[in-house]
Amino acid sequence: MGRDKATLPFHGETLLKRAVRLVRRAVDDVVVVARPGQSLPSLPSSARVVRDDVEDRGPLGGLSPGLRASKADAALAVACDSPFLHEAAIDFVFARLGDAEVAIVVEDGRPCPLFAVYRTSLAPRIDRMLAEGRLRPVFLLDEVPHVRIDAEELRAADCDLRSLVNCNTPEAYESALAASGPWVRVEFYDVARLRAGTAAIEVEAATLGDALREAAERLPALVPDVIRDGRLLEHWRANIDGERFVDDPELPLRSGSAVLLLSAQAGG
Amino acid sequence: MTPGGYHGRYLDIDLTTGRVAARRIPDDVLRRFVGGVGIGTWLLAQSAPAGLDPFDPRAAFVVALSPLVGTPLTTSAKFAVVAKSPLTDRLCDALASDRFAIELKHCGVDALVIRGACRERSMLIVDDRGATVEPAADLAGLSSADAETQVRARLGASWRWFGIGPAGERLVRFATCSGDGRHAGRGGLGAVLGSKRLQGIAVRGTGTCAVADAARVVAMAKDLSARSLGPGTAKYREVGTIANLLVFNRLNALPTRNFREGTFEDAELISAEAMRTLPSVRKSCAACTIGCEHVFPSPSGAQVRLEYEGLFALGPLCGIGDRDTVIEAAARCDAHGLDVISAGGTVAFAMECRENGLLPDAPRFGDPAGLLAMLDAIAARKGVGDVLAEGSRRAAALIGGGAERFAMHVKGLELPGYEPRALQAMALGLAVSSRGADHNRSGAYEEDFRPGADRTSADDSKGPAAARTEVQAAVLDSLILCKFLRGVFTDVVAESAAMLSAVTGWDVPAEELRLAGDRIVAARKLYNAREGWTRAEDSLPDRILTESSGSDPRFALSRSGLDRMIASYYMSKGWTPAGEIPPEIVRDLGLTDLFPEILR
Ligand code: SF4
Repeated sequence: MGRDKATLPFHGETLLKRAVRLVRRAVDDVVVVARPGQSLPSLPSSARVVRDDVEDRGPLGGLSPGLRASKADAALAVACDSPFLHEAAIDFVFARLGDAEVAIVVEDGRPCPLFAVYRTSLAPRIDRMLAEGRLRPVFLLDEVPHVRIDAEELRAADCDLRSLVNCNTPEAYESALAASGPWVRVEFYDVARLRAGTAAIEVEAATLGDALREAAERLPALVPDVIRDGRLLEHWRANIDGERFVDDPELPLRSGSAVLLLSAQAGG
Repeated sequence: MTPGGYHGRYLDIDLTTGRVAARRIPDDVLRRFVGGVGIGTWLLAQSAPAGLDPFDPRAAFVVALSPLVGTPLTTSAKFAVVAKSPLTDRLCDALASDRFAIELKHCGVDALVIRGACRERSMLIVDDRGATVEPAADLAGLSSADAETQVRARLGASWRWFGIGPAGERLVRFATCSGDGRHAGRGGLGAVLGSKRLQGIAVRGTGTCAVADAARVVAMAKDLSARSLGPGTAKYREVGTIANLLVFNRLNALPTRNFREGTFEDAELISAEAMRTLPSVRKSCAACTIGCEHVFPSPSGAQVRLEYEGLFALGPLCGIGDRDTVIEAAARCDAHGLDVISAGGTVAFAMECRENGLLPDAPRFGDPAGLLAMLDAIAARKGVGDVLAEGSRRAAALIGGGAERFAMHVKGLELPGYEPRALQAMALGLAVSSRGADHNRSGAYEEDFRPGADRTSADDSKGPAAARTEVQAAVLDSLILCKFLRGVFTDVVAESAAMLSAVTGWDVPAEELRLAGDRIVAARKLYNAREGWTRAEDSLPDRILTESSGSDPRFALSRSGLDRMIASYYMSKGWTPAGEIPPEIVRDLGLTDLFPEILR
């Protein structure tokens, strides 16, 4: 790409921030593994950052500190340039782990080490492999019981397999930018603007509930005063395009619409 | 025994003779009219004969307290002033907040009825012993705030003041009365005091007023105070009502250039965000935990409590997008004692007259210096200001040449900052309100903001909604609690009834209080009927009913649409299609004695 993918902009946020936000929809604890000296864009406070202490060791190099930092029994590893991670796809891979040590998606016959769930107890073994110079992820698969999930199976959770899209080339990045949406503008008024710290953001949302959820993820200060569990609290109102006041989270939104968030107290 | 929270008496003061009599308010009246605007309406209706000019010396000016005054219940230090409005010739009640209410309560009365007129500029002094009139020529020409400083220097710092400014003295028909910088703003009640040559009222009381169940009142007060700091009041605390400006602008509901448009291109420049760069302080009325007042410095060095209504009326309505000008204009209205809404509305009317060749001396839309000069001229009744001091309705009649079509009022009261074509439940509320175009006696905009409601449709659902919010407002304005508390209540009337019960010792079910609200709305209407109300008054300016806002067809309201909503409002109240209250309803509400002429 010629540029650090983590910092690439993606409709008002960076690719890394977006990936963290999307993963956070499926899991409680997110660890970002950075290269030595890599400067990171701003991240949600819920994300913890650890550093890979050695450069250029491939996916396994980043995996080890990530697994060590994780508080869970098993952890998903994904690349930061995955703009369309879907929580159902993440849940699907976790669900397939069973008693195995690794559950890994296989696309066109090739395992995807950065769309896989690993037992966190594998960290010492990975360290050993790294010390021995065995850097390829397939070496790990040779050693431990694992589940291979064909990408076609994954379609049950993510029919277009958008979760597997990466931005490895400028062309892939541009096409991901163009393929996203529908885009909706969320505008903040009165106290909602104070909480949001901004007048408006663009969110990718097909429904009012999506728009509220993404706004809450991207602007955590809206939670829990304004938005909770994807719904506006009773003291707030949502309005579409300056016309109708609405409250149904399933309400479909057209691309280009505006969702206004404002106080329910209209008087003055 | 008098119920808790009341003294059961008022002072009947005749300024002409200097006679003062303490008179009883029967317990059943207290219970049926509660206090504030309710008791105020009851006293006004019986204190002056029908058909008096508001400036007739025999006209009454009523100050009415409520049972909650002096309790620890948050926002309860309020009082109502009620009189026949010189702007509308109909009933006007206006509220103010200040320790004045508590001092007056400690004088051992629930109300003052002030009639007659002084021979020279005077002030009324009320304390535990009663009331006396004293000369006050030295207060002439002072702003109410300066008069207050002078009076307290003379009488002592524990005295509170409620008085008029220069506009009231000169009988500007939209002059305010105020105390501690808070105005009883609408309807020109300051001019009524001015017509009596009464500069104001000084009070100090040393008594008490017991409540029936002190422990319960304290527990309720603690709970209410805690809730008053929650999300239901966040807008008022954190931004203030000026937050409405950008919201209304986005909803095409921000009246601009005399209601020709519903959005203002310079709204951002005078928005709450633009104000945030100024060093502001937050203040509150006495006994209020919310503190919605955001006070900004004006270019001339005054401290201005800036509210949405002043911001809209002195800004977009006049085409002014200059922040400092708007703040300075609000400061001048405060100093002169002018109602900001009517002042802005009347100047905007004059600006449009100027555009149409009817008033060459008026400023143009968007002329900051012209706006400020015109406010000064109105307060001084100088030049064209003398005509505008009559309010837009009378000024239009004086100017002629079709100026009426630019006068944006209902019953003579200039419209507040809610574009009726974009908020059509509110349009109905404005049309039928007994005070005229008014956003405080009708909270119908709540319906426009309800998810699922269609705010641009003049449909039958609007009538019951407007009626409900009007009754709710009458309850709060009689109790009296600040309307900015509404968001913390699950059921405003039920919780109000519980508070009233704890204070008075009565067992007041919610339905009884709702009925009292209904009675108060009806009493105001009957008063107006007595003074000449006709069905034609329940309407909106022609512009609203014949032009769309900003030429946007989405924001249009036809005369037949408004009539349909009005019919649904009358029907929901059980009134006749002509808007009259049938005798049986007058009887059922117990209003026959108060308005016997209606049944004749
Ligand atoms: S909320 Fe505002 S207007 Fe209401 S009582 Fe408190 S300070 Fe006064």
